[in-house]
Amino acid sequence: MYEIRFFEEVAGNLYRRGLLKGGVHACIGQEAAEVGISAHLRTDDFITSTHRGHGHHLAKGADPKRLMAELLGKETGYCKGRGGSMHVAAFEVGSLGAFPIVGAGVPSAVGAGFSIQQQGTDQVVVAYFGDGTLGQGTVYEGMNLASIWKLPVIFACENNRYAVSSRMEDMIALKDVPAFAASLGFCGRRVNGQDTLEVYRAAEEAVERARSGGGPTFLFLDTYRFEGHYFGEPEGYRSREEVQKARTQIDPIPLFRAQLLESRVLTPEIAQEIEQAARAAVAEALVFAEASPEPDPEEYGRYVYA
Amino acid sequence: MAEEVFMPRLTHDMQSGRLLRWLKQEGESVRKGEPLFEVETDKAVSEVEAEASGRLQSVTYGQDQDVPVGTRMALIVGEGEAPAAGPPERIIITPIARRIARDHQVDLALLKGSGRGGRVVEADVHHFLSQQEQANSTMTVAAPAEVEYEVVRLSNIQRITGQRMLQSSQTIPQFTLEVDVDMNEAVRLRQHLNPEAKSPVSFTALLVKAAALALRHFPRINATIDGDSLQCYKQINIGVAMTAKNDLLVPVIHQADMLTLEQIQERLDALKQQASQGALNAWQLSGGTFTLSNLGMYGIDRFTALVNPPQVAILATGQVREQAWVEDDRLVIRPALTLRLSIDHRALDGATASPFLVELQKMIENPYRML
Amino acid sequence: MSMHDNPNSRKISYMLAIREALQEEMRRDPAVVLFGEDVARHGGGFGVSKTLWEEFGDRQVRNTPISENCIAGMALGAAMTGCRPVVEFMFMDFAALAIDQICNEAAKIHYMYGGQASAPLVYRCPQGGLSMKSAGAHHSQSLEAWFTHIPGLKVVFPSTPYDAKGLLKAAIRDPNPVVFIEHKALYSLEGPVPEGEYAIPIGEADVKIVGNRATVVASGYMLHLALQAGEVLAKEGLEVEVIDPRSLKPLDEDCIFGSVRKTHRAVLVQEACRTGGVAAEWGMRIEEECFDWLDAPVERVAGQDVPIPYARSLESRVWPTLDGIVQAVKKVCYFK
Repeated sequence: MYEIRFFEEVAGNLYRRGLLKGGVHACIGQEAAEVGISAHLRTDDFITSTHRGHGHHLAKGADPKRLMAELLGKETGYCKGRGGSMHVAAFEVGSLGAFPIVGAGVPSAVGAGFSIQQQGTDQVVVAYFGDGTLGQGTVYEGMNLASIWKLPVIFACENNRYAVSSRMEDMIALKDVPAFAASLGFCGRRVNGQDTLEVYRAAEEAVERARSGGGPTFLFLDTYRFEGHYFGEPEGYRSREEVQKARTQIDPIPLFRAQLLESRVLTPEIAQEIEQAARAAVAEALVFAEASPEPDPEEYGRYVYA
Repeated sequence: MAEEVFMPRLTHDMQSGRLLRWLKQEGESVRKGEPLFEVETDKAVSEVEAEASGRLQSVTYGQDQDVPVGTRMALIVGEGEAPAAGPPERIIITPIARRIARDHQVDLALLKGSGRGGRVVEADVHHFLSQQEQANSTMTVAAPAEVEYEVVRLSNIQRITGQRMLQSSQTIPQFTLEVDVDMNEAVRLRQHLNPEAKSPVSFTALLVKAAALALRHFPRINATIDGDSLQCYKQINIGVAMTAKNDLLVPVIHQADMLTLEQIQERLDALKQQASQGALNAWQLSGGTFTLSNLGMYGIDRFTALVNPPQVAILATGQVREQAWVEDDRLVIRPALTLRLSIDHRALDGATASPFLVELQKMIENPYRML
Repeated sequence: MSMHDNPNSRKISYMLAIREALQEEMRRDPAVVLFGEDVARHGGGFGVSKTLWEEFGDRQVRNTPISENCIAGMALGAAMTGCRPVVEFMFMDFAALAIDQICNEAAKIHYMYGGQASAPLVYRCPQGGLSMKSAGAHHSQSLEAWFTHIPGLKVVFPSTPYDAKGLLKAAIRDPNPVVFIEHKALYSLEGPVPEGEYAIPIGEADVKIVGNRATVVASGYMLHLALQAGEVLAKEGLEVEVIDPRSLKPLDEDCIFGSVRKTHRAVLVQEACRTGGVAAEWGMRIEEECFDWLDAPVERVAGQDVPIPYARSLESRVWPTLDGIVQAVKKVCYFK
């Protein structure tokens, strides 16, 4: 979680210094929702991600060096600089890619579910998407298909309350997640996305269900994003006070840290070590990425066809 | 002042008419009021009269073409006037015409365009080039003064042919290879095919096809020579020498290797017909990569032809005749044909040209391969 | 090798040729799966996949709900994780619903991810009018131009049974997403198709008639009109060369340019409405590479720029016709 947090902070810094081009969408504040689920995933399980995908990838085990290099558009990045922040992918750790077109990753997740079923393994797929995506048809098409074919897909909706500037309540009619999922023939849970352990338990159940052929689950995680939709956004749609309140009261990292310390799973020293190790890893990633070469301009045509 | 001939509006709501045919040819005189062309609309077929007197020029639409109302189709040019030319400061010429002119170092300003607005098209350049060749040749007539004689003027084509043969014999180091071909199977094949075929397949057609197929394996022979390099053509276009009204013409069967025997025979018949009417066009006479000359129908057994420059080879054949062969120490009588191949020694020598002739011989001796 | 090389082959229909290709590939490789609406027991909207479900079952032949975009994307996800899906759209017109998944996602996956994954997919699209007649504006379109525009996609469009079988096999085996266009009016057309294994390389055109006066390029149903036009014109001494591109992307430029450089004239035919169609692309390329060989401007024969109307009298006015092609050839041959 620290790794994600520091990674995103560094990314923000790079953006503000003008070194990171294009749109960068940070998931700061949503770490628990992502880590809690990924904790149950093996390398051979799949995820599909979105424009706000750095956290999904790091949680799935992606190498921060190669991820940072991709953000800086370097040849050593996962996508050799062709994808950038919004189109990262790390197939070697089971990420089928970030799909920045809202909802576009859900069908691919369903397709991966089909593959798994066809090959008869116990792999699972997690399709990450946001609250705004509940306006897109592909979500419902995907859920319909996953339900009728009983595919091992976990639909993980991170409700960070805002789709760019639009509040979730104003845009999305869905009210009762368990009832909605049940009416489509599968299980749905609404979870406090800032409580890492609650996410962990809900995800455990969903992953177990998928692995054993029980079909899909819809996890609706209430979370919050601390940064704007993208770095540099003038956030006219919410008040400074609201964001401050969230940062101080529902930051998942200090909350989880406190929980672990209290139940003595962690000691302060170990917690400190974890934090420092994460900081160091991200710093190392930055050094690696900055030192890496850019792709050869003459290779612009490579990879069009396999 | 040239008068436009255009597609008239014959009925109230007519948008276009089909030009069925011209009643006068390009270059012919027309008189005002004379029927000039036939038009078909959805109502009827009508004759349209000329609206001026003069000469019909710059015909830009042909038979059975749809022409929108008001479109210019030709000009009637007053006697003594020059045909309409384009604006002097710009030569309008199609890309291929420009290219051919450039390849032959022709000054564009000398070209006369037959197209609309004086546009020069490919045919115009070919026409100019063939006229130029005529102009270049010279003719001398000499005779002993004291003996009476009749002057027989050589035709343009005869002069040009003579000029080219002179050039051929003077500048090309030619040598000849000869084989006799056992025509037993070829005769059988013809007998077998011909009762059923639309156009009875002649020996000439067989030779054209055989030569075309054999040339596929010998690109150096399907070639022209220019200085110190050969242009080995990807297409195999066989010129077939024929005589019409005392003129030697060599119309071309293009891509002969891709045609069936029947198709080749049909083309030969069509070309002969057009040759006898003097109706061969420039395109039909150009593009040849190899030539066949068959004098069999004149009772000739064998002869040596002159290479047709800039090609590098020519095949001369005579008639199919009964001949005695030696086979297994016995004498047998079978039909035979002599093939003589004349070759430009700058392009090939005996060792490299012989396999082609042998291949050709084998092909004719086993003609079923050609079907 | 082309359809006219094997007069002794058995004759089967275009539809059966497509079915055979699917069947043989599904037998050869169990990763090949067919998705589509009603493709299982019902055999597909036009009957192309009849008998396949009986042979391969749910494992390789799946009926899907009416979710074109999701199905196109699901096929992508399956392709990235080990399957080789073939998606059947009931009509090309409906593929419009899946443009995001086909053009934004499948086409770009290999490139955007720097080669980490590929999408070995086939999208089968029955298109065109002139068959069902009066099918109207949403069941008759020819939309190949949309897909030829997108980098990362391949687009093929066979016109004969022989080409259909050979190209579908090649498409299924290709590691890239291929839009495989079928012309509905040709489903019952019979033609020689050899027994035994063969495939046609993508990117290779076929000269259906050899000629020398003009080059005519046409696909699908238009190819057959062009062949008929060729016969009509031959009677007048105009021997045209008719080229079937077979692959629209990548396009066999060598074949087309070689022909135009020989004939000096080009007539490009498309059933699709005129503006922005593939003929415009062909024409531009000819202008770029064969300008110095042209003896007349390049001519185009296309459908009218209107949605396809329902009434028969209107509909027949909208399509290119045999006479239209004949007139276009004469226009370039007699051009002055």
